Amino acid sequence: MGGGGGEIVIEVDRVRKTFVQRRRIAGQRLRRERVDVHAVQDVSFTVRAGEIIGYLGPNGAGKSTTIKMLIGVLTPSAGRLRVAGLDPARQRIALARQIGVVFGQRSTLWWDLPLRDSFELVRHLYRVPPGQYRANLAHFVDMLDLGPFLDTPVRQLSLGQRMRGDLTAAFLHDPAIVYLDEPTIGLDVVSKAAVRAFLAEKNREQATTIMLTTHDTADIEQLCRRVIVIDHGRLGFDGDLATLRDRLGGERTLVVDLAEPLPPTAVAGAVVTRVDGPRQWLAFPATASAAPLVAEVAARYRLVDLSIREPPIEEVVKRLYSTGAVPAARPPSATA
Amino acid sequence: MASHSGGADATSGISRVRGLLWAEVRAYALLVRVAFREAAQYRTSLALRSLTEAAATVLDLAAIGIIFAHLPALDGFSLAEVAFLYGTSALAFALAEAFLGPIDRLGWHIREGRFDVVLIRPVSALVQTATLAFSPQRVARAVQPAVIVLVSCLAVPVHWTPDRVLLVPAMVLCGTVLASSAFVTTAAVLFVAPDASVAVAASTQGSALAARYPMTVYGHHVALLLTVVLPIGFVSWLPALHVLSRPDPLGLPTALRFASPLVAAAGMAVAAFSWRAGVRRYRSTGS
Repeated sequence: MGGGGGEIVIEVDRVRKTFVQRRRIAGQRLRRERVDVHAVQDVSFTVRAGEIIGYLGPNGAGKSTTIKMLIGVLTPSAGRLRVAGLDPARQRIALARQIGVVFGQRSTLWWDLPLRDSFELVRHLYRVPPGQYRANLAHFVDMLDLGPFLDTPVRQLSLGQRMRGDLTAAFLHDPAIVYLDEPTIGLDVVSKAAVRAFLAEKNREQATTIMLTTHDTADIEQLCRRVIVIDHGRLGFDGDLATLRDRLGGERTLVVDLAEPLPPTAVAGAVVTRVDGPRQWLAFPATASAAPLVAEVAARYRLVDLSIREPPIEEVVKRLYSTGAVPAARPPSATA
Repeated sequence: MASHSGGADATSGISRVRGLLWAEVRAYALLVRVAFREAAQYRTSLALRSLTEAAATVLDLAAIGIIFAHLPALDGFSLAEVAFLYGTSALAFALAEAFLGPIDRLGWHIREGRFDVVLIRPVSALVQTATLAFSPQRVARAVQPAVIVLVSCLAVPVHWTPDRVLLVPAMVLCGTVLASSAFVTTAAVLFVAPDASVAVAASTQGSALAARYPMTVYGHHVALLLTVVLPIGFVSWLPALHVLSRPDPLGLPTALRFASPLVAAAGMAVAAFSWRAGVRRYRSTGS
C-alpha cells in the first residue's frame, strides 16, 4: 500500500486537450478568428493502486481539465488514457461504477432531498448490495458525524456538512479510485481535519487510490506522498514533496516568542522578516539546518516558545515556474 | 470489451443490449420518482402550478372548441378531420415533451456546471438530463390533445376497420418517437452552443405547430419540404390520410402512409448519433 507495488490503475500517455475558441477581431464586427487553447499538453504519468497523489498547479493550469478527462467528462484531443483498464470517454458508464468524484465547489447530491435520500439514490444508481450499503453508511455516519443532519435537505446544510455528505456519497460504492477537486475549499479547521482523516483511513484500510487537487498546503503535507505539478498545461514535476522542496530551495521561517518585545534580533544565517511585539519571524534557507540557528537564538535571548514553518506549497510551485528550474520528471517505475 | 466480441454470439449481444436498455428505463423511472419527491418539497408551489396547469388545459380546450366551431372546413378538410390531425400531432408532441422535454434546459445545466455531475453517474446522460427538471405538469399537458383525439375519432366519418383502429395508436407512438428524436437532435446543438436555447426551443415549437394542420395549407412546395425533408408529415399527416381514406393532395405514394415506423427509427438513429457527437464535444466550464 501507500504507493508501493500496486498495479497501474491510471495511465496517462501524451494526453492533450485543445479547446477551440473564437475571438472577435478588433475593429471587425462579424469576422472572428479561431484560437486554439491548449489546456493540457502532452501530459504523461502513471498511478499505481493505493497511491495518494496531490495534483497541483495555479488556477487555469489544467488540473480540472486533466481530472475531467480521467473521469470521462471531457474527451482528450490526443493521447492515450486508461483508467482501471477502460477508456474513460468511450466507456464512461462502466468506469463510473468504479470511481468516486468529489467537486469541492459543486455538490453531487440532490439539492431538495434529505441527505439520507441522496445516499439511498446513490445506492440504487450504483447498485450497491444492501449489506455493503448498510455497513458503509453506518461507518461513514460514525466517522464523519453525519447523524445530526441525515434528515436535513441538502440545500439547508452548511458547507462543511455538505462536503461530508458529498464524501460519503462518493465512497458508498467502495470505488477503487477517487478524484477530489478542491475538497477542503472554504471549510473550517474541524471539517478540514475530518475530511483528511477520512481520506487517510480509506486509503489505509482499502487501498483506495486517491487523486486530489488543492490549494491547501496542509492537505498535501498530511496526505500526499507524491505530488504532480502542472502549469500552462504542461507537467512540471512528479515526485515526492520533500524532493520538490529540496530541489527548489526557498526559505523556511523560524518563529520565536521572546520573553519581552525587543528590536529585531541579529543572528547569523537568518533575516528577520517581521516583528510583532515579543514575536519575531526569522527567514533562513530551506536547505540549511534549523538546529544551529535555534541554538544561537536560545543562547542569546530568553525564549518562551518557537516553531518552524515550511515554505507554503503555493510558493514552492510558484518558484518552480518563475525560476524555470524544472527538475526532470522522475521515471514512472520509481514509485516507492 | 472488444476482446470478448470473438466469443460473443448474436443472442448474448441482443440480451446484453436489452439488459442495458432495461437498466436505463429503470433509472429513468427512479429519477422521475426523485423529481416528484423533490417537487413535493415545495407543496404550495406544486399545488398552485397543478391548479394553473389544469385551468390552462380547460381554457385551451374551450378556445379550440370555439375556433373549430367557427371553422366549417380548412382546405377541404372538415372540422372533425382537422381536429383529428391537430389532436394526433399535438398528442405526439405533448408525450415527447412529457418524457424528454426537460432536455431543452441542457444549455442551462452546462453553463451552471451541473452537466459535469451528470457525467460522473453510471446512468446515460440523456436519461439524467431528461429527468433533472422533470415536472409532473408537463405530463398533464397531454390530457388536452388526448381528449381531442378521442372526440375527433368519434366525430370523423370513418368506417373503423382493424387497420385504421390500430393505425391511430401506432401513429401517435411513431409521432412521439419522431418528436422525441427532434428534441434530442436539436438539444445536441446546445453542446456546441449552450446559449442557443431560444433558437432550439423555437425550432421544436415551430415543428410542433407545423404538424398540427393539413400540410396543404402551406402550399405545394413548402408542404413537400415539411412532409419529406423535415419528416413532420410523418407525425400525423400521412398516416391520417389513410385513417380518413383521403387521396394525397401532394400525390405522394400511398406506401408512405405506413412508413412512419421506419422514419421514426431513422429519426432515433440521427438523434442518437447527434447526442453522442454532442457529448464528445462537451467542453465543461472552468471550475
